[in-house]
This record gives sequence, C-alpha cells and structure tokens, in this order.
Amino acid sequence: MGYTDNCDLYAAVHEDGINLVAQHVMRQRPSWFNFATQYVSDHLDLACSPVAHTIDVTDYKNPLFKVVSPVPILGADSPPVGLNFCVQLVKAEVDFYPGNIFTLPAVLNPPLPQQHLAMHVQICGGMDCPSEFLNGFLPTPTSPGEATNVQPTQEVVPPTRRLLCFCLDAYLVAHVGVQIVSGKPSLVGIVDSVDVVGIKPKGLSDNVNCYLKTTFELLLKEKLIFPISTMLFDIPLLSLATITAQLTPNPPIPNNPSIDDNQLKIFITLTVAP
Amino acid sequence: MSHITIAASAKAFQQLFNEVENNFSFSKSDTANFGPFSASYSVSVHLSGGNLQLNNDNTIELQNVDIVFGTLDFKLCLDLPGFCIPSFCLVPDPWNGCLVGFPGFCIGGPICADLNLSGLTSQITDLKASLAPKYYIDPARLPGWTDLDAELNGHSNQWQIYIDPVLVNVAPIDVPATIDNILVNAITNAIDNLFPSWLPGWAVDIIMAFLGPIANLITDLLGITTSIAEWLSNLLGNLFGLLSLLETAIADYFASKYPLYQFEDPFPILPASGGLIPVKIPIRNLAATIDSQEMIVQANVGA
Repeated sequence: MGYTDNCDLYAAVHEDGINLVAQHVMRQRPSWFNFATQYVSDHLDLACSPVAHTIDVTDYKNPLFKVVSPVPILGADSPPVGLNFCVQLVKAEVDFYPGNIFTLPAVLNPPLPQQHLAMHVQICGGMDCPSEFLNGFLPTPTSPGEATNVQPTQEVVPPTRRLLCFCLDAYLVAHVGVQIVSGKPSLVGIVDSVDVVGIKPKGLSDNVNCYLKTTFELLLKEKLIFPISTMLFDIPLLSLATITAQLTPNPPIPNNPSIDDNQLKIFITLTVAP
Repeated sequence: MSHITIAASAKAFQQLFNEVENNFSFSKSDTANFGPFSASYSVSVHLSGGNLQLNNDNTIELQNVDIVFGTLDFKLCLDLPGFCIPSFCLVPDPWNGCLVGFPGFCIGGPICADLNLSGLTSQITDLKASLAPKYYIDPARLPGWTDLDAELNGHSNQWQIYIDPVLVNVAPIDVPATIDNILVNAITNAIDNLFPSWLPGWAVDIIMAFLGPIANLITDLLGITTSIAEWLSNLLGNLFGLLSLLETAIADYFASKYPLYQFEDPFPILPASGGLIPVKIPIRNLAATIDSQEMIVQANVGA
C-alpha cells in the first residue's frame, strides 16, 4: 500500500525524530525553557542544571534564561524582599501512540489512547534560602500614616550562594489539531491531562498540575506551533498559484493529522487549476 | 525507520516536474563553413508538454516532450556564380556611335539569406531518469561559519533532489516542407539585392532567366541530394551538432541545474523572532525513491 493512495502529499515524522527536534529547540531557544532571576542569570553556576545551548546562542547574544522577578516574601514590605530562584525544563521526550518510550503514571490511565501522544518532561527548580541574610536584617523604619502617598521601597533580593534545587517528573497526554495561523494551516498540540509525579497533598498536586497544564497549553499554542508546510520542508507545490492544497477529509482519511505507528502523519489533497 | 517520510503522488510529482520542465531554457549560436556555403544560427529553446510515467524500477520515463525553438534565426551564405552582361547599344546613332546604350553589368559573388525559422520543433522521444539527492555546499561559505552564519549571509547548504537522466533521446528537428518556398524566396531576394537600382526590369528578367529556377540553383550550389527540409534538418541537427548539444543540455539541466525539490540544511523550523535566532534542524541521510505510484523522500534528524 502506498503512502499516497488516498491523498497527494503525505508527511510523517517519527517520535525519535521529534525527540531530536525537541533537543534542538531547547538548545537553540534556551530562554523558552529556562527561567531565573537576574542574579541567577548573571551567575550561571547557581542554576540547578547547566543550560545546554548551541554556540550561536551566545555568539548572537541570545539569553540562556528568561529573566523573571524574584519570588516575593509575602507580607514583607519594609523593605519588600524577593528571593532568587530558577525553573528549568531540562528534559523533554515525546511518545506517539502506541506508547513505548516511557510508562505513563497510573493517574493518566495508561496505556496511551489511540491518536494521542504522551510527553515526559523533567523540570528542575530551586530557590534561595537566605538564612544568613535574616541574621543581619534590620527592617526599614516606617512612620504611622505613611501607608499612602509614599514611594515604594526598593525590593531587596538577598545575594545567593546556592539554590535549593529539586527535580520533578511531569507527564502529559495530548493530541494534535489543526489551527489556521497567519492564513496557514498549522499543527498545534492540545493538552488533555497532566500529572506531576510525587506531589502531595492532592490539593497541591491539583494546583501544580493545573499550572503545568496551562503552561504547556499556552506554550504549545503561542510558541511551538508549526505550519504544515514545515513538515513537508516547504515543498514548492504548496506555493504554486495553480495549486490548492487542503487536508484530506474523512473519508477517505479518518484521522488527519493522525498519530499512529509511533509517527505523526498528515495527508494533503491537491487541486490543480486547469 | 526513518525519522521523516514525505511522499508525493504521481499527480503531485507531475506538478513538481512541470515546474522543472517549464524552467528549462537553452540558447546557442554558431557559425561554420561547409565548403560551398557557410551558415550561422542563433537559437533559444524551451520544453513543452510530454508524458511522464513513474516506474517500479526506481525510474521515471518521459516521452514526447516538445522541444520548441522559440527563436531560430538562420543565415545561409553562398557564392553565386559570376557572369556578366556586356555593354551594348540599344539605340544606335545613325551618324556615328550610340544614342542609348546598355553599360553592361556583372553579378556573382557571395550572397546571404536570412531565415526566421522560429517555431520549429523537435522532441525528446525518450528520457529515462532516476532521482538523485545531492548535498550542496555553497562554495562562498567561509570555513569558520556556523550554519546560522551561513544562512544570515545567504550561503546556506542545501539538500537537493535532481532528476538524473540515464538516457536522453532527441528526435531530428522537424523542418516542414514549406521551407522550400521560404528558402527560395530568401535566396531570390538576396539575388535581387545584387542588382543596382538603375537596372531595368527587363534586364533583371534576362539575368534571372539565365540563372534558371532558383530551387535548382540552390540544390546545385549547396549540393543538396535530399529535400531542402531534410537537408536543413541535418545541417542544424547533425552538422552543427545541435541535437547532441540539446541532449547534453537537457541531461545537464535535469541532473544538476534545476532540482525537483530543495531545502536548506539545517532546515529552519522556527523563524528568528524578537532577537532570538531561528531554530534549525539538521537533516541527514536524505534518500529519494520512486515507484509507479509515488515519490518517497526519507531522511533522519541529525543529533
């Protein structure tokens, strides 16, 4: 049976290829996957994990970290105090149906359902524990009635010697849809469920899972969305004025895009103007 | 299993091929002396139509593609035998001498005829080819450049898939029989141009009658033993070697000038954005095969 029995163009990418692509994206766009305060970004040895990156990233002065604000100490306002931290996505691997690269946690109801993909990410993070800073800390005196109409005091971020790092394994189940972006049909991942292993109690786990689900959903929709033409290496047919390309409908193709046989596949039908 | 598989149906392949075919052009001009005559031509050629077939032996076969001579300017020069009409007196002077005389006139020597043969055709009767992936390294790429440096300087490496002909047959140039009249008229005009304007029509007629039928004159002078159409087809196709040049040009074009499909390596999957560099994926082990149904391109993602 041919690849194009029911279509004119076919493209498939195997999960092994996708996982290499993921590594390339992480190495070439590290600031999409590594977040830290300015201090940590300026002192790379503080990071929980070395940031893998290509030489072009530094040659072209791209950041390794997306710089974010320190974690505020709630209630401290004279002065406000923030703590250095970092969060890093250090590993990402994709498993297309049928699942065979890693085992999903029970809460995600393995095995991986048909037409779905699973993703395993390892997230490492750490925060400063500024105990020495507190030993010498003196609050800024405030007068009664100064609560309004005063300039906010500069936030104090204690200098950091090391972060208290930890790593979490998170799993998600997703499927792939098609969305028109800038007039081009594009592949977008849609997250169905997320589980971060080993977090208790349940309420905290639910919060972390929801936060991560939202994060991945937005990341996939905002940044990791690919025109279908990319899967076809911009084959020149798709830019010819005489040709109209559209995803092959059902029937004859029941799932398009399709996730099966450890691959993500798309099927395209061409209409040629006379 | 390969990381990446792309397939194009026979219909899609035909459209890809049309782009290659439509971009073919060939120009050539030449001059040669063939003893009793000399000739020159200037030609530009394009391809049109044809039947494309995909085969199970990993080849494609192309038949009956028109080679259209969009421009074919042909010039033929030959030596007209010289002869003279001596001077004589038309109206003698009854007392002495001549009142009206004919001063005498000689013709002969080189004459040239320009023929516009644009629109003649030949055919690629058979072209058999396989697909040949090639990795193109831009020679202008500097040794110290990264792939990103090369892209930003417009000298990226490319994966290219060419149609690599193993056989190209081009049919003789199809010269229609009407070329006889065209050539006769052109030569007649060339001879006419030899006559000075003062020469009266009756004198021209006498000279032309003396030359005899121009068609016969041409075949005699050029040593044509076949039809003029066959002679011209042979002259252009074989004596000038135009058929051989065309076969070579077509083979070179398909094999190395215009790829069926090409893309940059590493292939950009995310554009540069907000000061961030583009994300590029190295592609390795590109292979292209064909069967009677489709073209299949497979490759791996490099580490």
